[in-house]
Amino acid sequence: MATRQRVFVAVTPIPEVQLDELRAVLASVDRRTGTAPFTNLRTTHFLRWTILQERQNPEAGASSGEPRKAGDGRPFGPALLLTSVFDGSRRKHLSELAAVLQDELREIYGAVVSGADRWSGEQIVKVVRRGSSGTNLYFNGTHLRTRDQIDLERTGWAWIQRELELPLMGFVGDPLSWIRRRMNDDDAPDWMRRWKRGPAFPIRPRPVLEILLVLAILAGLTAFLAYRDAGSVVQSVRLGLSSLLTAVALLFIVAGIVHAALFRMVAEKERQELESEPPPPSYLPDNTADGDPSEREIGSELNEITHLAPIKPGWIRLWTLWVVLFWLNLVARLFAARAMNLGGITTIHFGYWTIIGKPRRLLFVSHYDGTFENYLHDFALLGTHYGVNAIWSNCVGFPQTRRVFRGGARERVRRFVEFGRAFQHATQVWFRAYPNLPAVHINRNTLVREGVLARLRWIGIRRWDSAEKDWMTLKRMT
Amino acid sequence: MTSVPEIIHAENVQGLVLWGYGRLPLATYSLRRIDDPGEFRRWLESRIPSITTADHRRSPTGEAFNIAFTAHALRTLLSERPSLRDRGFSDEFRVGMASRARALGDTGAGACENWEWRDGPAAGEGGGEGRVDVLLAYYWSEPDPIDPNPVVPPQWASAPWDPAHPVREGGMVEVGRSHTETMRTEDGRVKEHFGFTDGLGNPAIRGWSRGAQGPPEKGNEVEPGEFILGYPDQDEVNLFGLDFMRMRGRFDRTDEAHRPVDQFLRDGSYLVARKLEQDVPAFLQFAWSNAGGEFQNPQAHAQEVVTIASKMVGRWPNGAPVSIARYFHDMKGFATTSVRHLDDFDYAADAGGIGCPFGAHVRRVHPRDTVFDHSPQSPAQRRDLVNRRRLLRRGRTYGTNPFEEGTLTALLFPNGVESDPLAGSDFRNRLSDMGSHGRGLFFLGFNADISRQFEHVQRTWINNPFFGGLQEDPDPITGPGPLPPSNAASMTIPTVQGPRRLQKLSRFVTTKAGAYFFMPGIESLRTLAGMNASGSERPTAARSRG
Repeated sequence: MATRQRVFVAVTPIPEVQLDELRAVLASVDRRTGTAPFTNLRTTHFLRWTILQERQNPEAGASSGEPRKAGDGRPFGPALLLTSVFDGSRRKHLSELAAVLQDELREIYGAVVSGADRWSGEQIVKVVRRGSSGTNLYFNGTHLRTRDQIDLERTGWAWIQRELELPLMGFVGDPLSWIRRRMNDDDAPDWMRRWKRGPAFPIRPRPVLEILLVLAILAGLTAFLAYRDAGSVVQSVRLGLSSLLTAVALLFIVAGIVHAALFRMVAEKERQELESEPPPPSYLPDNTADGDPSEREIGSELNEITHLAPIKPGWIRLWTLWVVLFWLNLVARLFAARAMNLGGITTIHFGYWTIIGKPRRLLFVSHYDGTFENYLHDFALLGTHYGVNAIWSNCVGFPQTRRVFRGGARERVRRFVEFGRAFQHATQVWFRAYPNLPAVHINRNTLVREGVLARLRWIGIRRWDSAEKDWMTLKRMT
Repeated sequence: MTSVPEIIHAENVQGLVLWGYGRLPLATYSLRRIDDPGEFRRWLESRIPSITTADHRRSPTGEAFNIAFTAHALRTLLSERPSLRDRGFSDEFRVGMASRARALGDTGAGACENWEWRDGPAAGEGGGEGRVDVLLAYYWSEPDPIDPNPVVPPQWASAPWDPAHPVREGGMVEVGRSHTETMRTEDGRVKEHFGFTDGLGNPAIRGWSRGAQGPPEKGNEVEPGEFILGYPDQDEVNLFGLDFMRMRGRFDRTDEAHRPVDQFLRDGSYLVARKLEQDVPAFLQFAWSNAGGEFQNPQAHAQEVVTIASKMVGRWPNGAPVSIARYFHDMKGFATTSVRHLDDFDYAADAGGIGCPFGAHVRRVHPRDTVFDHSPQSPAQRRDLVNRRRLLRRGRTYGTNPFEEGTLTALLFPNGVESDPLAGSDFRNRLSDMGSHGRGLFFLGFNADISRQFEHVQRTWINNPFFGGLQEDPDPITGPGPLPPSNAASMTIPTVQGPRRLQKLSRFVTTKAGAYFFMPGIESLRTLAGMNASGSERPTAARSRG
């Protein structure tokens, strides 16, 4: 049964005096992420520990003399961020962490919480959970695939690749028939049986249908309530529908007015900041002990970002951020995850935005393939820039937008990349279940498996075709 | 087609940015370090009048001279305030190519520690002899005996490079020099060392039709702001395909307060310079051995060698795109095609890579309308995105060309493609005579954003083994060769019978030197020479707006 990949986020305060010891411990743990016990984790896709520590940017706000308040006017941290992406329920995932990584948890949290080096894994997890928070916007590019399924599909793809790379001397027919015939051989290995039996990629009804279904239920309920007054079925249905439509219309009008007012105020703020106001003080990551995050990206195809940006002062910015993240989260969950891309970005494994802590910060954590610059360029150059502008324009240091949605990252790509680097925090421990498997390949493996196995149901045909190259994908043998 | 007003301030832009100097086949690039800034300023002031601008109706003839600076040079010559960062220079330019070398895939023999010259100290070194501050680019035409006033190149440009006796001139000392000569095949096409036609694939600049042989090819026209700072770029005018900014007469939105561009940067362009050594025998040997030994027919084998090499490049030796001319004999149809029309194609009919493999060099460095895996974009949208990654290439080959015959096809078929090919023993003799060192490409590329354009092409397209959904397939021509952790690299050629994978791809191109330069406008050169008492400001009234 395919399950949703979930995210766990927890922030634990670190006593300042413990920082150096913690860094040494984390460096030691990081060297072991490629071996047991990390490799014994079965439900975890990614797991990271990052030290979040800010210092005040000496340049920002200098012209205004007295620094203005951002949040409550002090740097964030130091704090230890634990974040993971996993299959199944959070309770099971944390139990697995407590059982498999007990020694590592003791080492790490022993340097953070006094006495934790003698606790059991369960006790440590219980303390860590106290600092956990949900996500405001979450997107997963390899939606609904478990780790097992990803591994299995990779094996299947490698097998197909080998089969098609054999000299096809005397082989007549299309490769699909060949593959299917080989799969049905009596000596087919065990993994292939599991590969064939595994769940189909879950394609649920389009969200439009879901929305219509909810509306129909609401209409039915209203009609049922109206039946008492109307007396007749026909009249009650009429009354029910008209009241529902009126309610929905009113809701839209009120929501529209509220949103318009909010964005009008933010647009005005953006304009004022552009013209006269000095930039509020920003807080930069204190990377003096953690080194340059870009060094770790060299030679690695899978990369990560932890970005902690100060939110601009005032309640309007915070409310706008909440509203924007809420709507984008809805879009990401209903549409983008099914499409296996976020507004055209296909290199993303996952990304989430969450408002954390006091003082308020916007945390963005993501894993992606390729270079950092390319990832942010994609955000700026593809359709995602409207969302990116709407989100990060509420943060200090983001290039100014025009009426919130336009301008910003799109017009000043280089400034946007600099903004990304400026607030990036280096990650100390990073476990990846499949470091050499790009998101594009995970999705391709799924589509190919589905294409080979599906008896080309209509839905299968549609998805297979939507992979653009259908047969070419196989023939290209990538 | 509506004509577009020329908005480029051509008399302030250095000529090399907009002209490739196709009529000047000889060129010398002199890399120099500034030892005495005061003397250099005086020298620069005296040379500014002789610097070639872009303000010509046709490609310049006779001679041309241009100059570019590294970040270190600008720090030395400009006042401390504002800093380069505050002026708006990009991070990549300020740290220099040497610091970016590992990220660019320059490792092993191509590591910056081994470079002949570079724009900064290599890792672990304190400064060094190889640091370069200034690039002098001098172009001239071959001596003409009947010309009453023949061009006499300066002594440094025509003399061979002697590291023991570097030129000292104008407060500078020379740290490297490369002589280049444009080589042409019998039919007049520019050729490069691997035996292929070169000089193709440059974009047309919107509003700049001087020297053009006709209207630009479909989708190949790019805004000037992609290459020259201070002008509209692709994004500003391409909203929903409508030229809003032009329609509203706001040609230069950089004047707006929210997009300040320092006056010093205006009409300038970032210049990426790399000296790339080509190992021609290794490349030809790879193609020869991968053509297989099972052919009874030597002619079929030789055709296969050309085919494999061409699939790796993405064009046939005569420049015909393999996406259209899919088989060996198809290239004949492009023998007389004009160079401009060799570029007039896209990959719409070749989405699966049966013609041009996804991993082929020219498809990587300019994917045109190729839609990558599972991407929801249309080919037209893809082309718009790709056009934000373009470079104006002005590079030339250095060293002796190993093919007197012209191209790879001519080498393997000395008496024509219908006759007997070169025998295996003769081929091996030719390879051993060629030698692996001393020839290559002096790459020069102009762009407005090094990170978004050059570094993206290098890192995400050329070096990326997963490009377009591939696996362990870096660029077969200029890629980094075997990749960790598997230490394998391959090239996949899709065919209608199934894929064909060329294993054990090695490195055929090695970076020998490199630097990020900035080629300023003429007014900014005056600022550098200390001629503008008022600083870097230039009266905006002097700008022509077409």
